[in-house]
Amino acid sequence: MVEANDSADDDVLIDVRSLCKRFGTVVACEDVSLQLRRGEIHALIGPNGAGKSTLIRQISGQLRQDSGQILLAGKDVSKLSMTERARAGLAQSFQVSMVIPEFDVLQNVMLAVQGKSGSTFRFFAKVSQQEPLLDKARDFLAQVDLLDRSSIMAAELSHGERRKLELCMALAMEPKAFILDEPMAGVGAAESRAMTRLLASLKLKAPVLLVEHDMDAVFALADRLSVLVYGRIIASGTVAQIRQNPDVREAYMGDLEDGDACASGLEDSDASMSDQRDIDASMSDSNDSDDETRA
Amino acid sequence: MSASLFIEQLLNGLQFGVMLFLMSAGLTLVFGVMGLINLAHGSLYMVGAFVAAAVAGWSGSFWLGLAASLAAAALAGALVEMVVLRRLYRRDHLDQVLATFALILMFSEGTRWLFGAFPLYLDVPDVLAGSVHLPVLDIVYSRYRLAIILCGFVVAAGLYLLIARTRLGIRIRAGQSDRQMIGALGVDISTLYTLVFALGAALAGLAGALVGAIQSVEVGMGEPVLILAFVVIVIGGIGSIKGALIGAIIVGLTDTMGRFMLPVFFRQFMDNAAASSVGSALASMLIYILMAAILIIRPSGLFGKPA
Amino acid sequence: MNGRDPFIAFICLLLLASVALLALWLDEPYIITLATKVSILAMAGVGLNLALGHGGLVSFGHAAFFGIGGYVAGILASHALNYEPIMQSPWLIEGTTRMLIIWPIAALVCAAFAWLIGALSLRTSGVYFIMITLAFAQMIYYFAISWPGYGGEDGLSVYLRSTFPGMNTMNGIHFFAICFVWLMLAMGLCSRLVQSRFGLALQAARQNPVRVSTLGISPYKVQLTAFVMSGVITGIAGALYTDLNRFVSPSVLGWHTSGEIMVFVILGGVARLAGPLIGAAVFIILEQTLGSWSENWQFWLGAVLIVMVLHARGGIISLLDRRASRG
Repeated sequence: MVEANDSADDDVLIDVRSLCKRFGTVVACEDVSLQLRRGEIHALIGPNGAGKSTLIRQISGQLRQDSGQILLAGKDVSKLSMTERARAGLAQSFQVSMVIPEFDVLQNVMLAVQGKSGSTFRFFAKVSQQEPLLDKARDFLAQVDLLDRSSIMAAELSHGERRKLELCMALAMEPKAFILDEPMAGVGAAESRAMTRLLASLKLKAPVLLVEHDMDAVFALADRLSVLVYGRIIASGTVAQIRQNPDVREAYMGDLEDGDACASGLEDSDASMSDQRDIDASMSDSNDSDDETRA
Repeated sequence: MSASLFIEQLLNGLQFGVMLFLMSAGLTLVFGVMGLINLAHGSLYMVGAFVAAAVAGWSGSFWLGLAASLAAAALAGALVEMVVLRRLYRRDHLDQVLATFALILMFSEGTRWLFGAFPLYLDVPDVLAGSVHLPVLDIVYSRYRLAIILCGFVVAAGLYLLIARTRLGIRIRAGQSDRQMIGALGVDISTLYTLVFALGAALAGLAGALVGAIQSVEVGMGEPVLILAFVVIVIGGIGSIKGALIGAIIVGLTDTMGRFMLPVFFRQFMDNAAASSVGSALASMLIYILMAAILIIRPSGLFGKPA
Repeated sequence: MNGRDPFIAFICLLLLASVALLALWLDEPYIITLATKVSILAMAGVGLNLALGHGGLVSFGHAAFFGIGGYVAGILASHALNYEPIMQSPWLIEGTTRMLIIWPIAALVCAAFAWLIGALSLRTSGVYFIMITLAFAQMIYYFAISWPGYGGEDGLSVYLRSTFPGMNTMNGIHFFAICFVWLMLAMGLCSRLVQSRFGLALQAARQNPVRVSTLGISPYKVQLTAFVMSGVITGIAGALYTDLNRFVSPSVLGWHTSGEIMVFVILGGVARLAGPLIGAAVFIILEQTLGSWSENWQFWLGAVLIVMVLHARGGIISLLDRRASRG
C-alpha cells in the first residue's frame, strides 16, 4: 500500500477512504483507499472478478458502500445519489454502452450540456432553437471528431463511434473528475489508436480514473496504476513500480492459466500482449453479460 | 364479538384467499414464463363458472359441471393463446394490455350472447351441502367452503410437486429464469407455452366453478377478481407461485377481516351509522393500501426477484 | 413525436371542428354531443400520452385523475345549485358553478393526488408500476362507492352545466367550443413540452434512466413532474366530462375508464401528438356504428381492437402516415 494520505489536499480530486462492500458472504471490496490527483490518469487494473466494477459503481453512486468514505474535490459525497454526484462534478462512462438510443448524436450531447447547466425544468422554449446550447454541444462534438455525425441516431452508430459519443457526453459535463469504465472495450484496432489519443487529451481537462483491460492502452496512458485483486488493492504506484512488484506478478500468474503470456505482458507490451488481450477481451465479454443480467 | 364468529370470519378469509390463489397461480405463471400481462384471465374464470353452471344445470351433476368447467377453461385458454396471445410475447406491455383488454370485451359480450343477461345459479352438491360442526370452540361452518379451502391447498401442493418434480416443471422453471435458454435446450417452446397457459386457464376456471356455487354466475364476475389477483401477484412478487399463495392468503384475510373488524373498531368512538360507513369505506380500500405499502417497502413484492 | 405530427394534428382538429359545425348546420345535436365527447376523451388521452407515450410511464390508473376532476366539478356545482356551503367552520366555503373557478380547483386537487400517487408509484417500474397505479385508482374508486356522501354508488347529478362568461354552456355548440379549445390547449402544451429541455430529459429518462442520472438530471423528478402534468390535464378533462353528462358516478373512476383512456392512446398512436384524438374519435365512431348494427357491439369492438394490435403497430396514425409518405 502506497497511499495512506489523510490530509485534505487541493490536488486530490477523488479521495476514496477505506471503502468496504460485501454481497452476502462475498467481500467485493475490502478496505480500499485510492486517490485521483489533478492532471493524472490513474488506471485501475486487476483480473476479472477482482471488484473493479464494484468499486467504480460505489464511486459513481450506483452502489452504496457498507462503510468508508468518498470525497470529491474535498467534499464528502458518500451519501449522495448518482445524480447529485454528477452535479457535484463526476462524469462517467460505462462498460456497457450507455447512450440514449432514439436520440441523435447532437441531442445526446445537448442532454449532457443541459444536465451540466441544471436547466432541465424549462417547459416551453424549443430546445432545438436554443443556440447557446446547440453551439456548446457542437463544440464538444468537434473535440471528439463526431461533428459530421450530429444527425445520426445514436442506435445506428458504430461501436467505436458510440464509445466516442459517450466520452463526448462525459466531456460536456465539464467535470472535476472522469471515471471511465473500459472505454476501449470492443473498439477495433484502427479506432483504438484514436481513442487512446482522445483519452490522453482528457486529463488536461480533469483527471481520469480509468478501468481498462487493454494493457497497451493502460501502459501508454496511465501515470499511476492501482492493482485490485479479490477486492483489495495489492499495489499502487507508477507503471515502472507496478511492473517490478512481485505481488502483482504472482496475482496475475495465479489468476490466469496462461502465466507466461501474462508475465511477459506485464514486462513489456510486445507481441505476446495480443494473447493477453484476447483472454481479457473474452473475459470482459462474459463480464458484460453478467452486468446485463444484474441490471 | 364472539370467538366463534371471529374464527368463522377467519375461515371465510382463508376460503377467499384460496380462491384468489387459484386465480393468481395461472396469472403469475404466465407472466413469469412468457412475460405476458393477461387482463383476460378473469374471463377464463367467468367461462369456468358459466360452463359449470350450465352443464350442472343440464345434467344435474355438480361434478360433471366441475369437470366441464376445467376442460372448457383450459380449451378457451389454449385457443386464445394460439390465436392471439402468442403473437404478443415479444411486444411491450402496452400492446399486451390493449389486446387482452379487447379480449375481455369479446369474452363478456360473447358470454352475454350465449347465456343471456340473467345470472345463472349453481347448486352445492349434496355431499357438501349443509355445515359441519368443528369440535374446536364449538364452531359450525359451511361444509362446502371448507371443501374449497381443502381443494385450494391440494392444488397448491399439486402445483408445487408439478414444478419441483416433473419434466414440465423443470421446463417451466428454465423458462422463468431464461427464456432464450429453453430454446437452446431443444424444448418445443410454443407447445410449452400453450400448456402453461392452458394450465393457468384451467385453474382460473376451477376457481370460477367453485365460487359459482357461492355467488351468482354473471357476466363481469371475473373483473373484480382479476384485479384482486393482480394485487396478489404484485404483493407476492410476479412469477413466484409461493408468493402467489402467501399473497392470496394475506389479501383474502385482510379483506375479509377488514370488512368485519373495521366497523366494529370505529364503533368505539363514533355512532353506529358513521362507524359502518367509515369502516366499510376504509375496509374496501384496505388491500390496496396494503399493496401500496408493500411495494413502497419492497418494490418487487415479497418474493419477487429485484428488478 | 415526428416531424409531421403538428400537421396531422392540425388536420384532425380541423376535421373535428368541421364535423361539429356541419352538425350544427344540419341540426343534429346528437352529433355535436358526440364531437364534444370526443374532444373531452381525447384531452384525457393527451394527458395520459404525456406520461405513457413520452415518459414511458404506463399508468393504468388515470381514471383516478379523470374521476377526481369529475367529482371536484360535480361536488362544487351541486353545493352551489343546492345552496349548501361545503364547509361553514372555520371558514365559509361555498360551492360554485363558475367554470373559471372550478377548473383551477380541479387542477390543484388532481395535481396533489398525482403528486402523491406518482411519488409513491415511481419507486417501482415496469409491471409493478402498471399495477400500483391501478391499485391507487381502485382505492379511490372503492372509496367513492362506499362513501355515502355525494351519492355513493348511485353517483351525483348536477342538473345544470356550470357557467362560462359570455357563453351559454347549455347550448351544445357553445359547450363544444369550450371543450375543443381545451383540447387544442392541451395538445399545444404537450407539443411544446415534448420539444423543450424538459421534454428532452423526459424522453431520455424513458430510454435510459441511469444514463440520465449520470448527466446530473434526476429521472425521478423529471418523471414525477410529467406525471403530475399528465394527471392535471386528464383531470380537467374529467371536470368537463361531468358538465357534459351533468352527472358523475364512481364508474368514471373504475378501471374500465383507465383501460379506455389507454385504448385511445394506443389505438391512435403512442407518443404521437394526434394519437389520442384519432384514437378517441375512432373509438366513439366504432361504438356508434357497431352499436347501431349489433346489440353485442362490444364483441365486435374487441375483435377490431385485436386486429389493430396485431396488424397496425404504432396505431392508426402510423398507418395514415405510412400511406401519406408513400404517395
